[in-house]
Amino acid sequence: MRKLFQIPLIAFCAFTGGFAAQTLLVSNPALATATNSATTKFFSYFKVNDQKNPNGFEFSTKDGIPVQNLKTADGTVRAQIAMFKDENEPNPTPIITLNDRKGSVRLLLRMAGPYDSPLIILKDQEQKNRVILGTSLDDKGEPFLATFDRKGNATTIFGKYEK
Amino acid sequence: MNLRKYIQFPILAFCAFAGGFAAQTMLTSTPSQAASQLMSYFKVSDPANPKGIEMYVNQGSPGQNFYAYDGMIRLQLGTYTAPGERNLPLVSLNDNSGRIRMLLRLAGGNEAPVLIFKDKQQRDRMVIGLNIVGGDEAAFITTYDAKGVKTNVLGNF
Repeated sequence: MRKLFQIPLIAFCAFTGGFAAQTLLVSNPALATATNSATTKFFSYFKVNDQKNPNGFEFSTKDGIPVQNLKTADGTVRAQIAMFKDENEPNPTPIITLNDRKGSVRLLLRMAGPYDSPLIILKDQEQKNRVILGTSLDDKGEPFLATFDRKGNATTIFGKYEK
Repeated sequence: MNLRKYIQFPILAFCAFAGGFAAQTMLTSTPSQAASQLMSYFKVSDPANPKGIEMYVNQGSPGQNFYAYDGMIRLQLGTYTAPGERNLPLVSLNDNSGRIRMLLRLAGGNEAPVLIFKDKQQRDRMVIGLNIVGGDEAAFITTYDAKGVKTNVLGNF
């Protein structure tokens, strides 16, 4: 009688062990894969990659600033979509960058200034601004196009460019 | 002898628990394994837009596509894969037919930034950028009329 009682109890313990392992050890990516379209999951870091490029796409949010990096196999960031914030831009502003093989920004789409003026900035290999196309940073929002030579001398093609 | 019988059951129960735990551990990915696991495709969608946003890494090249309700690609972020321009990044904006109409990319030996505006026939109509070859990396703006006649508005492309 006692033995008969022991068998289901041992089976129950085995089941509990499996269940505990499943609960404790299940991974976030596995959860993400299983997530259906009606479900919302929160991740502060997420990556899509393959064997040839273990870096791939990285998605992260830190201190409320979301960043999406596209990386090549050597780990260099080649494109970024993010919110940007620094001393000059205390309010996060969206940016899109395309980066060269060194990871340096060469093409930048961003908003700037107190009126969130849209700008397209083309940079040379030395990271100097060579073209800025956008609207003025003041409340007038006048369109302008400015080019710069290697020494940084500006030529305004149209509109008014102010640093 | 009686004591042996007494401790036999908890040992068996523990072994069963440990066995279940071990089996689960071996047969399922752990968080540490998952962190190093490769996930080469990921999609975010809803019933109104089953394609939604897809992200992938294919043969080492990452790509991200944004689809409209009708399943057409409307925005793409990725890198080129052809030998001469491998790893050069691009962003494209596509029209309702899924054709690229605006392309932001790096091009040439200088990995120069270039903006390309295309018409519905997929012809380049305006190109803004820095010279893609040569040391000066000077700015240029070039337009093309409907017949393909080129005009250098600024610089020389």
